[in-house]
Amino acid sequence: MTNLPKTTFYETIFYRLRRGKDEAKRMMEKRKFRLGVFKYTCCAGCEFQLIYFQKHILEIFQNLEIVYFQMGDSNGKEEGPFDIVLIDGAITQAEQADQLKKVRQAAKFLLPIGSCAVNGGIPAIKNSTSELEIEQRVYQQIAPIHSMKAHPIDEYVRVDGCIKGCPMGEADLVEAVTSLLIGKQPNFFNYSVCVECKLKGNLCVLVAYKEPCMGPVTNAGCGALCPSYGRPCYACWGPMEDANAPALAQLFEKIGLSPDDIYRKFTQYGSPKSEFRKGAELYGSKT
Amino acid sequence: MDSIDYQMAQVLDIQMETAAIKSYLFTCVESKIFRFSPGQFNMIGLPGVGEAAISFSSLAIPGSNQFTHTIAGVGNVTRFLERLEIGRRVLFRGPFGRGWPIEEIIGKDLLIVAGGIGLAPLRSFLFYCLENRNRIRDVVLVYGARTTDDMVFAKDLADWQARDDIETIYCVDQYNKESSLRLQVGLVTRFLEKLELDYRNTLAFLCGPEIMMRFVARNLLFQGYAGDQIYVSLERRMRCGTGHCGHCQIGAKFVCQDGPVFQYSDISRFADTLL
Amino acid sequence: MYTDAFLIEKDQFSPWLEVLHQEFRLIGPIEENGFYTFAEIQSVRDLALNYDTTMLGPRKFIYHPEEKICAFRKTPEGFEIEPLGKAAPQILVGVHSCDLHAILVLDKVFLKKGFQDRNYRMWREATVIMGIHCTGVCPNCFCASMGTGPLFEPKEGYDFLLTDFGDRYLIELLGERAEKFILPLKLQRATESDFKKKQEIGRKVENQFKKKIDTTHLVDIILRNQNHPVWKRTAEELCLGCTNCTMVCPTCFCYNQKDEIGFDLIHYERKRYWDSCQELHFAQVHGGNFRFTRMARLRQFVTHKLATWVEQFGCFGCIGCGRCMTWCPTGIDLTEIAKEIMVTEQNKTIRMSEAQQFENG
Repeated sequence: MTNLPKTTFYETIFYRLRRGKDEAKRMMEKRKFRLGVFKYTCCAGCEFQLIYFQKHILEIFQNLEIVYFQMGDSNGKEEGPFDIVLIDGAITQAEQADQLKKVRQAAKFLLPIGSCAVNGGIPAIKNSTSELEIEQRVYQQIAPIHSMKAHPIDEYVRVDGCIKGCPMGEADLVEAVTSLLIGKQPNFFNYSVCVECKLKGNLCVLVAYKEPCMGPVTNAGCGALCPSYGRPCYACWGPMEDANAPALAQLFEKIGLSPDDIYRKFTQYGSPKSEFRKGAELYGSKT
Repeated sequence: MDSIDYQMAQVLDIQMETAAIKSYLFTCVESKIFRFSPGQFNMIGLPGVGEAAISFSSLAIPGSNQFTHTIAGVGNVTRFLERLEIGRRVLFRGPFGRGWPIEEIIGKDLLIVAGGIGLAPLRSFLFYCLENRNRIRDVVLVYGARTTDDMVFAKDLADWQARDDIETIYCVDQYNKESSLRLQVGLVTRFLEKLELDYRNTLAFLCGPEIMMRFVARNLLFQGYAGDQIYVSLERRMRCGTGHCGHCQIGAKFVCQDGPVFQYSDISRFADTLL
Repeated sequence: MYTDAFLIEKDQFSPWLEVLHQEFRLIGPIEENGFYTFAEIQSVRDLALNYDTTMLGPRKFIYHPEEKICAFRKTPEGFEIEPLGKAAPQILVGVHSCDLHAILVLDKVFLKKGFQDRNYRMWREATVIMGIHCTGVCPNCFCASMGTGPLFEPKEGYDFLLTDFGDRYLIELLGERAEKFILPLKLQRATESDFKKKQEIGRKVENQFKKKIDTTHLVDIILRNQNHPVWKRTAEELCLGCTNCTMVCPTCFCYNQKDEIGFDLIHYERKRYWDSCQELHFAQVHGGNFRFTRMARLRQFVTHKLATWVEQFGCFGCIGCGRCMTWCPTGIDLTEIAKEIMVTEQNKTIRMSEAQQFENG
């Protein structure tokens, strides 16, 4: 086999944890898992979503003890230690990267949540423009501003899987928490939106109505929300593994989208990801 | 039979084979007799985790409900199974598949080539051969492992090496530790040409990493073996074991029902294998 | 098995269905936003029996897209297992010949000797199937080439089979269950001339097909050309890996299982859902993936449908409905792939015979 998929980090880490003695102790004491939630550059929607999950909120917080979670509790302990850390938002400042590395050391599992943390998300739209231009557009005084290009969490530290979505999906979060409880690897969604869309029996909006639907290259988990209402998917969950973005981009051109529109479609969420960049680069700048 | 006939099994004993591989002795909880043939497998797992196909590493004892699985913790299910303790219960379905062709071996020379944990399904087959030793001719076992530490079934390997009715060649890629076994250094393919077997009357049985089986099979074909004299045991990910879920298909074959043991010529004609 | 044929007036047909509707779930083609789809029917008036094709075939009412198969409860002694799902009696109305064949194919997969799929068998037995013959062709269908239409020939797999004669239907019956339903109606028995009329309709439809494929040497040709450039080119330029082809295919049977874990860690539910060989992780094992490239996955789909299925189940996996190419966003057409391979084969034979002629002087 020439192309071996990389062993994911959470595989190795879950493996280690399972053999760890403190894990056995934790099970004996029925101690809750220590949760940390950190927020970087984003809208905080995922953090909000965490306390907004109405269906499973009780069960989730019954099994988690909040150690650091600014939106839920202002008296957090930033230094940990944590069993599980959820990271919200992309990294756009050097200080954020410094803190992230410290958090990684204090955490057993670290999972980016939401598109910004997983794929760069909305903040990464700015990546195609120079930093100075962006700073000047937003701030009057740019002297104290030291921003960098937006990058997802896994470009700075090792991650143990990711909970995709914008905001993050409930199904994946529940899977992560229940997997933590019984000590197995989580099975996150790893196929395209089309699978979920067909399972629901939706009419394909891309084929039937020639709507520029990003479903074929987008990771599932949302339950094909937009196509279920006859709207094209706009890829808020970021790219699916091994997505063929160039073929879809060329199809959009045939449907009649302008190069600018196609470029925007592939850079709106997850422009730092190579899967989408391949599609965007056919129709736009390469920065 | 139904596709969801779950049975319960209890762990009776655990044997460490290597640092990462353990053998589990199970007993059926509900039934008194559990029959299977060498090379078949069980779908074994736990609710919440899923199921994995694991072949039997022991021989069925007539009138008994015990069976052994040798498990390396590498996947989602097997890592979970690895944590089992004595007395714990698991769910299983089985036995599934077609095992080694035990009717074919009478009067033949047997060449058994195993790599790593691939010895597990061949171990039950070897036990069967040794039970019927007078009905078959020469038996040669070539077993290769990555390092000395990775050799499984150390006690059985020593037993077989001590016997004079079975020729054994054990080899490792890296000789990293003293061992009581007589070991040679090199890949299994290095030792195949020197065997004094008549290829016209020999059946070869391979199990191990698919890439190993590829080179062993090609080596044997080069020596003059026919494709249908070589049997391989394949591994695929499967969900059902009953030939419905489609995951294990190789061309026109379901590994779970038509296999896991195939004649080399029967399976290598399809794409998407390494054979 | 009991067989018979009658003529039923269309005025009589709908009220009869209404009567059956009181007892059964009624499922059939309805129009939705300009497209036809199979759905549960509230009123018989919604039924659009002159439909052309649907995205998802009637398979989804027998082999469900998502289905819970069993529930586990952890007890001190181990586990209690309870099979889930109970089939409700239902009538599938207006199943075209290709989809009837597809159900026969699925029967071969799920109800074969050895192991039977519990949930499929349950729903299959609870389903009364009323087929209908097409009176026209769709732009992408080629059932005549695959031997699955336009008339449904086998005497199995259906309870009723309708043929549209304009003001009335020819209704063919199969099995005692069908006889019981039709008895109260006191219909006029069909005659030889009615069957001739049916054959006539079939012939008329047969001449309309635009898409055709020659299946005489198809299996060998596909299996011989597993490394043909068409696979790689199509996979890179067109295939999105979106799985639409396999999801809409009426004979695709692969599924995946997922366990839902209760937060109490006592209750678990195992559900299964349609899976697709076009999905990257489908053939993944520890340490590798046997179909890592998109090319290998696309090749698996086409080869399975047009070639290896024959050895596996004794029939083609493709029933010629054309759904995979209709609903493929980039329009990948498996007949075009097969034809391209055939052209290369022909050129090869021509070149070889030319070379032979040259040698012979």
